Amino acid sequence: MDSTETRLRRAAAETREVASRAVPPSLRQETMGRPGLLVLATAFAAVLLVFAIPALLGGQDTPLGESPQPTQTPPATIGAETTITMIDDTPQQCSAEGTSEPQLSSDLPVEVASTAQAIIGAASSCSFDGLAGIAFTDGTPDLITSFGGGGIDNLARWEEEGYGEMDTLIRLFGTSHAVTDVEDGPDIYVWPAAFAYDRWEDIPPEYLTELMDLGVYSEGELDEIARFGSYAGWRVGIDEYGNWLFFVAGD
Amino acid sequence: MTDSTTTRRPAIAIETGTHPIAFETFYRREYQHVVAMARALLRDASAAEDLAQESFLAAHRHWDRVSRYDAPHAWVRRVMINRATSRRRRLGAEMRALARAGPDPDSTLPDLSAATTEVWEEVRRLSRRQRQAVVLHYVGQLSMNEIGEAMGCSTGAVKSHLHRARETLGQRLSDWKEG
Repeated sequence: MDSTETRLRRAAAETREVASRAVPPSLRQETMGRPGLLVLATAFAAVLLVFAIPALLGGQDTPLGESPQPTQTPPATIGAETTITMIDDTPQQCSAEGTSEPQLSSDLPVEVASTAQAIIGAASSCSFDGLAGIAFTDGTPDLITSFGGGGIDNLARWEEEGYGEMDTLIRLFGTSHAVTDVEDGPDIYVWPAAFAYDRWEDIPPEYLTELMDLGVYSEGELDEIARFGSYAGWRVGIDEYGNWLFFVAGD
Repeated sequence: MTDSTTTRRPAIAIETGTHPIAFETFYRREYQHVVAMARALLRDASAAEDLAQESFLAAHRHWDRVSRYDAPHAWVRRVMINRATSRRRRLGAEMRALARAGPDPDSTLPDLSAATTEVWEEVRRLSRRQRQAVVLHYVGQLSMNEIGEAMGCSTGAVKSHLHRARETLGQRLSDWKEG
């Protein structure tokens, strides 16, 4: 067994051993979303019903001067050592949270710029309904997000599963664009411009720098894309009439 | 652009309709496995534990659906590895690690040895797919088929990622002498 294999196996064994001492904690959420607030509001109303209203009506359940005992729902208990307190649902996280909106090039046609700005606006707040309203559909296969279909639903699902691409979608508009000619079809404006080159080695250095600065791909990932032979990473395309045609990666 | 039926991230599991496992049982059984893989992928120990918790919370939110999958554990691993490799998390975790001198007070996990830390540092420099494959294979001890399910790719692609990862690591860790 070579030393790399040995080191990996030893590192993995040690890491598993260390993790075996981790005790499953109470699952909790740092931020409470609307469902959480609803729970709070409901709890508050329940407290009012149980304590305040009987007191106002002269009830005898809570003598003056004695604090009422709060009611609690016992949490689910697992085994002897672990308690899981579930607060169902979390606020939807958006991968674009905190992503700066890029400045679009001033030489874009108005229709293209308008669509690009609308995409950026909807992506910034993970508004999938908003994106669905922008996406071009005319009965042809939907190339937004996947060659296999799925469209905007894919974007929503990826956000849900923790690897959303809204951040990527917005960042792409901060790169240079290229205009690709399509025979018997409208011009397509595509970001990043590197996508317009058939061979990786033909991509001008400034566009390669943009890919590195994009913040979407690591150096290793760009090496992998380069080995593929051309830029096959995330790109977004809008035709000259302002129709949003694609936001895809891969080939 | 070519027409293809290949989706970028195919569903990893099929609803089986069999008796779903209780979430609590699943959580207790899988937690440490997920923590181990998160620990390899993230420099920051407490971030790794947070990540494991977030991944199980995601599973809990969708448990009606996830529990009916053939491999709920593959689903939660996929959620974890993708969250672990998001740019925002890497930056956040690294900033926290840099801001802190000495042991991580928020973590319940013991520190890893210097040799193991060095290995994971190099693994984190690999491309996303390669480091995912390495962690799922070596730490997660998953089969090629299971790794393919978790990564949403073929077993052939998994083997290719592992091969290239070992090649790169072999060069970067070449000065190490077996003790």
